[in-house]
Amino acid sequence: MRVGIFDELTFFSRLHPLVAAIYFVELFTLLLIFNHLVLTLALFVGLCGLCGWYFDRQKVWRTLKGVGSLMAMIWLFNVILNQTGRPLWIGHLGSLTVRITQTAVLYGVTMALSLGGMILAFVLFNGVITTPKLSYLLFPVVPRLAMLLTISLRMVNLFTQKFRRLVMLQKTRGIVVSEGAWRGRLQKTGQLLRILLIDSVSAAMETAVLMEARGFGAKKRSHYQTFRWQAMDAVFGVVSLLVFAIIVGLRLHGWGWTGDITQFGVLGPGDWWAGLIMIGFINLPLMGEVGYRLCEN
Amino acid sequence: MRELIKSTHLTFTYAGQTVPTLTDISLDIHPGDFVTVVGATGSGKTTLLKQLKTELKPAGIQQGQVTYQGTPVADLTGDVSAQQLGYVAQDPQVQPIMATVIEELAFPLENLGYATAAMNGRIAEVANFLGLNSLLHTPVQDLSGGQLQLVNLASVLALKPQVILLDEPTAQLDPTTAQNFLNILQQVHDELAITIILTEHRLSRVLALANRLVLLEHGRLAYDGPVSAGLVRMHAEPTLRPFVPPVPAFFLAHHLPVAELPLTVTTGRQVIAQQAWRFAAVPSPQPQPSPPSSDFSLTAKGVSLRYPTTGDILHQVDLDVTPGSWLAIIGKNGSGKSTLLSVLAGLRKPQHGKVKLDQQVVWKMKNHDRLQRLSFLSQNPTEQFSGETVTEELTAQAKLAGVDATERVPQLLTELQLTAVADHNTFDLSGGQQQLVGLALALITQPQVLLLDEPTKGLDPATKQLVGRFLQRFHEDGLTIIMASHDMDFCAAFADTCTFMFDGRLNQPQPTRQFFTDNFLSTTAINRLLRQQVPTALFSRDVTQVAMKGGEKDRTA
Repeated sequence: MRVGIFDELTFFSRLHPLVAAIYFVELFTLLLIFNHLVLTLALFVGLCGLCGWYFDRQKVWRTLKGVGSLMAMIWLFNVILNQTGRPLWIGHLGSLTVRITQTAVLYGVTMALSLGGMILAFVLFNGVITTPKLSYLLFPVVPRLAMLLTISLRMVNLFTQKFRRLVMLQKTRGIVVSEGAWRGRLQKTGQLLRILLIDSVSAAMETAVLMEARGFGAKKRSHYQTFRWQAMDAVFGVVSLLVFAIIVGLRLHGWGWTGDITQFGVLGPGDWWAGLIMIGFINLPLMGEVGYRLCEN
Repeated sequence: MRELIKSTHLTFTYAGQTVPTLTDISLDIHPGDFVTVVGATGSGKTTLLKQLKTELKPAGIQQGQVTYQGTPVADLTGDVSAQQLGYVAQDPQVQPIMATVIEELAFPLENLGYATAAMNGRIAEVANFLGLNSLLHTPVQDLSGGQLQLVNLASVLALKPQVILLDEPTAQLDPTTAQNFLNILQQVHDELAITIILTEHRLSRVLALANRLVLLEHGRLAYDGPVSAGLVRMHAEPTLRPFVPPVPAFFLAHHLPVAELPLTVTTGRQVIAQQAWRFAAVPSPQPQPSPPSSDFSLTAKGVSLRYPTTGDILHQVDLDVTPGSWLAIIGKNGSGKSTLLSVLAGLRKPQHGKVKLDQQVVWKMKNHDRLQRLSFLSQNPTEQFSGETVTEELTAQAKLAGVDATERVPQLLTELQLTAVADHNTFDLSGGQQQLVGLALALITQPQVLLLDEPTKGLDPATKQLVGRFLQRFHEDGLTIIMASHDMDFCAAFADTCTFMFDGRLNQPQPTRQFFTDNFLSTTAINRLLRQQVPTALFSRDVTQVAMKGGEKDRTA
């Protein structure tokens, strides 16, 4: 899911790709290691704020609407399938007894917030770690994968554009995916994919020849380095690592996690403190922006 | 001078074929040459170009030899070949592989293991030389066709090649963009002394840059020498005559004695002024009887369309199509022509306004009903193919419209000279043949209105004439045609009315001759050449030379 790419002049986009990547590893870890409502809520709200700051708000709103429906579905499944804990409501469906329990409601909300937060973190990741940055990060370790990734991302983009054009133009050949029975629509989508494949293979063969004509495979590849290490990278990297270590330390002391879900409550011991530190962690890029602007001439 | 590239008795036969595509080609290319390779579709131009660089060689049997600086091209190592011999393909979209312009420029340098500092220097130099600085961080997908082709050239130039091979590099570009690209190519040739070998159909612009013309006929070298003499040779051959650009063709058609044929409007005007030649308009032929008018109405009212990424593309467009007319919509790339055609065809729904065919909104019509009345041919016809053979594609389309395919398909194949490729897969055909198949697909449904997007794009002049005459026949039978085109000569020759599309708006259509007579820039080369003497002249046949004082008799067209 892509909402956009950051303005080149923001602190976050200027951050060295390695530091930015470490920050995201920390962020994704935090989203996975807590299951308390307040903490997942803090992470979700913090990420909404961060996306709203960096991206076009209308696009973020559209993304949130999509994410919201997914979150609602996760919550609903939890409520329906999880019958443990203190019942809030009991109903009967024929011989079947249906319970809506406090545990299911709270755990469902927590899971939904975790998933929503994960998607928003991924949106943010896409905006910050652009293809060149990802390729730069991967190149020293797995150069072939870095190249493959770059080519694949360009090809995916081309395929998407081509598919949209085919959907429009193949109507002139009677292939309409929005008319008729579902089976027919599926068959027509299959036909479109076949045409896309033929067309793409033909174009890809030519592209491969042109890559070779420009020396691809002739020698061991080097990599065009465009990122330099700066003082702000070190500061941000150290601070984020410290805050992350504190949060992980709290988690190891049992904060923010309930093993027995029947004991699940709205607020656990120490959640407020952990939540505050968590919000601080999420807002580190914004603090960086403030510092970056203060350092402007 | 020692030759840079030498081809000795080169014969090449594609795998699975028995007849050679190239036969006994012996050719020497010298350092600093600007060679234009000319020939009809299928004459072997692209095949010849691909023999000059080992990575591009198609599968097949080669006899004879091609050497680069004395070494057979097949023996050049990958890095030497990449550095010394650059190649730019016809379709600007197929070469780029990276996400942004700067990465694309770095790509060949990375392939050859250059260090970052060296890459920086090369990229800076090339970007400055070609004026790409402002585009360096632009995603490749956001570039226009012209910008993309420039990036492709820059990416090749970054390796400091000795020779650049270009296969119809301007075929997919509009005339202004093509001219800009060729100006830059001239700069590359003149200032960097790089040898250029280029194949091209549209010769009016490129010949002024070339010092040599190589003419291929049926895979054989028919001429190799100065441009002017080559054009005389081409003009004498009826099948190649349409390839001669309008300005030199005018001098040849009127038998105007010149030592060196003028290639541009400016030099042509200078020669006419020096010789004090006078021309007068030939009385126009009787207007053709109007085609039988069909009984329908197609109107667009207040059509506005906006793309999420690029913004407004159509602004309040109104159009009332006269049944039986042939309207040409002229405009630059990105002016909204293609979008308007797709809206008129009911393939795209605008945010505001309506397009109605007999009171029915076109995008609300059942697809089957719509395609029996409206046909649309995209500028990239492969996007309308199913990947079957030519005959199968046409038969399926005929069945879709309830037309009897048994007679209609062979008839169309014959008329469009496609019988020889009837059993070939449509994706394996040449660009010109694909365009003809696209046209056959659009016409086999016997529509009332035909919408054509750049019908002459990438076609050689002879095929263009074939397409024009073919469409004219249907038009005379009452077919209404609306086409978007950059091709002034084609529009002037065949359309009844023309209009400009600019900034998402459509001007009032005007009769063709009036439109081109009123225009200053967007008109035919002959109009620009003779407008001071005969403002209404659009083609060579529109004028006759008049006798000079006490001198020669009239020379008629």
